[in-house]
Amino acid sequence: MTDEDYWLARLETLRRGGQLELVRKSASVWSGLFASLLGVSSLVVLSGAIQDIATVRSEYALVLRAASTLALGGLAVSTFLAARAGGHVALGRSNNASWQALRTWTVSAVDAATRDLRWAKRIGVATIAVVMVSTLLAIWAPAETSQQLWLAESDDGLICGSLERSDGRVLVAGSEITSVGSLLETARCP
Amino acid sequence: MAEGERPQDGWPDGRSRYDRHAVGDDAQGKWQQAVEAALRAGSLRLEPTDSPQIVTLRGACPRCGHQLMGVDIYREVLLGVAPANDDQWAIINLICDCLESHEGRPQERSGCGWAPSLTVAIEWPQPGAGHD
Repeated sequence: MTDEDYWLARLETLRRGGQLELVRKSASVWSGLFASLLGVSSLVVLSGAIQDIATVRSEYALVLRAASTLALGGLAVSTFLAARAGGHVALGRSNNASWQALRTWTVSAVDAATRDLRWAKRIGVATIAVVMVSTLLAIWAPAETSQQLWLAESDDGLICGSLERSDGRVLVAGSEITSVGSLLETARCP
Repeated sequence: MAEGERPQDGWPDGRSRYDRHAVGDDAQGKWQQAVEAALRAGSLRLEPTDSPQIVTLRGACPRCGHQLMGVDIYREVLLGVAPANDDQWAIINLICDCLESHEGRPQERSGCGWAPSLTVAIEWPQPGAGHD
């Protein structure tokens, strides 16, 4: 079989039934891609990179938030590129139904798939590294010291804040309390 | 061929020798002109089908003049390539598949040999326009 015969036969197959098959494969790939992207989101959330953010000191929390955002974006892009390398994500319509066009497209599709796969691997590996580092950071970062808050009812009304003692005076939120009707520990100021 | 049309080097010629190796710009231009002339003259015609997206090219091979089996032309195909700018044209391979004998033709082949290596741009019929 000559090259010409091979491409003509492929074109004939494509024209006769392959069109519908292409669209259906594309729909199937997109469905899988959405499922993968959903899985990626869950993976980043459950990896520990996000769930411990609230418990670490604020400067570490900022780094963890940035790392989690990067990881989510990186894994999403990497998953999309890998799916595109698998084919059938992008379907173009053309008025050129010659075997030469099919051959040209196949050659360019090989280049595009190779490029997509290369970047999918690079971004995927880098993202996994970010997730691992941020998970370790979430585990080992010093925890935020919880500040005790007090709600004091004084002559000046309700005062809420940290309780301090200075030179024999009692301060709540920096204000001296001379007479106290009640003093309650609270997790949050009203 | 209609009056005023320039015959393509004596085409159609039923005694054409089988030649499957027509390539190059000259052959490309010659084939395109021959198909266009045949469409204008009516020896080739576009016939509507049940689908508005498909027409069938029927008639005589512009080179040998023998009857073609008929070629379905699709308005668009899914190839993954960027669409051409002008979608009023359908680009196809028009390959003579006549059953008449041609000198030099291998047993497993049909037609006069023209022109699998060349492409032809066929103007898509306008809605409501006659195809004959």
